Amino acid sequence: MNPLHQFEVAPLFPLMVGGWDLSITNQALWTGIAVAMVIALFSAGVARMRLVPGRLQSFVELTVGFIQDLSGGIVGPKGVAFFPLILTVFLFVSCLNLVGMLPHAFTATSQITTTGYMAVLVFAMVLVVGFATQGLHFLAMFYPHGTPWWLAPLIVPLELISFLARPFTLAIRLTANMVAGHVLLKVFASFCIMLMGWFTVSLAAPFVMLLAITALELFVALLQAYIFTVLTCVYLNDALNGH
Amino acid sequence: MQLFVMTYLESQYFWTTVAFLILLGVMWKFVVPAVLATLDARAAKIAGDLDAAERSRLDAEGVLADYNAKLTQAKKEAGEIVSRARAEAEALAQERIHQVESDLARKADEARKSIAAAKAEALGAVRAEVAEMVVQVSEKVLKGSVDAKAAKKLTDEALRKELN
Repeated sequence: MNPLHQFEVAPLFPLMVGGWDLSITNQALWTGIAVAMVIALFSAGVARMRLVPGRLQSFVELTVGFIQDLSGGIVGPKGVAFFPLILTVFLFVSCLNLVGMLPHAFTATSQITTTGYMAVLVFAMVLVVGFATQGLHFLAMFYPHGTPWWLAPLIVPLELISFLARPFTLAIRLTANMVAGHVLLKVFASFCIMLMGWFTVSLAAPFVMLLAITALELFVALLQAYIFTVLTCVYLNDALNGH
Repeated sequence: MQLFVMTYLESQYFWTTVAFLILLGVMWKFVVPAVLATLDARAAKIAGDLDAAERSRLDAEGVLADYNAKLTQAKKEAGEIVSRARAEAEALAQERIHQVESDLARKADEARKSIAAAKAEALGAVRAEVAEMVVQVSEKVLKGSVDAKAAKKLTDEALRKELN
């Protein structure tokens, strides 16, 4: 009952394409399942759009409206073109997190390969958009407006480091949250199993904890997706509107 | 240690990219336009409904003002009819009163005339009788020495003294 066993990546269908190993692993499979579920849900929601929405349409509209408010509030009107991307980032991360809560499912966002990939994607996009819209003025974000000149030797390296640390913090925050939560779930589930055969009443304490942590993990799954999206918006705001 | 493993990197990046791009495509081409179109349509519908409600309110206000104007007009006309009828009735009554008064005056006049006629007739009769009586008396007294002419003269004198 190794609590880390759940994070093991295993190939399900080995696949080699032109010297590239594109094996479908459990991580790839559950990524696909999560995305397919979101697409099914949202396609059903927008299949027949009505002025007076049904439940599914309302769900889709509320979710889209929530992210629209979020990106509109942080990035402003310039971010409208990036709204589908921001929405996709939120849905991608949140569906991977939530599907990971299903029993026997694989949590793709517990892998640094998935979250690091997303973080690098966001970081690269911010760099490209920043230099494309502001040119070299984008570099002015390392020297915040109003900083005394004699503080520059201190501030500029600090800003540079915090900027370069962004993809790592984005990736590790999400992975660490997912890993920690799922390890906790496994640990308390193991307690339940171990105590069951020994003294039945003592099962109650770890079981209650297991229930509580499951609820907490559902919350954390959405919260971390929200944080990832907010930070994406904040970084995009830096790139589009300057620091 | 299964944490932070970098095995199957190519596979992970490839399939994550595929899944992410498919999701992005569906959102970009499908979900976001549909939702935004619906939100816009709903906003337009609400604005239209509000406009229509405003128009209905203005219409209703117009109808009410019209009705009030008509009501005022009708009240005025009714007042005019009543006052005209009252004036006519008064005029009629006045006319009646005049008629009755003139009737009465005429009747009184007639009565006065007939009284005067009766008085004149009675005086004439009395005068004739008295004259005859005087003639008889004078005949008896004077035995024919007094003729009718003298007797009448005497009688007239006597009557004028009596009546005046």
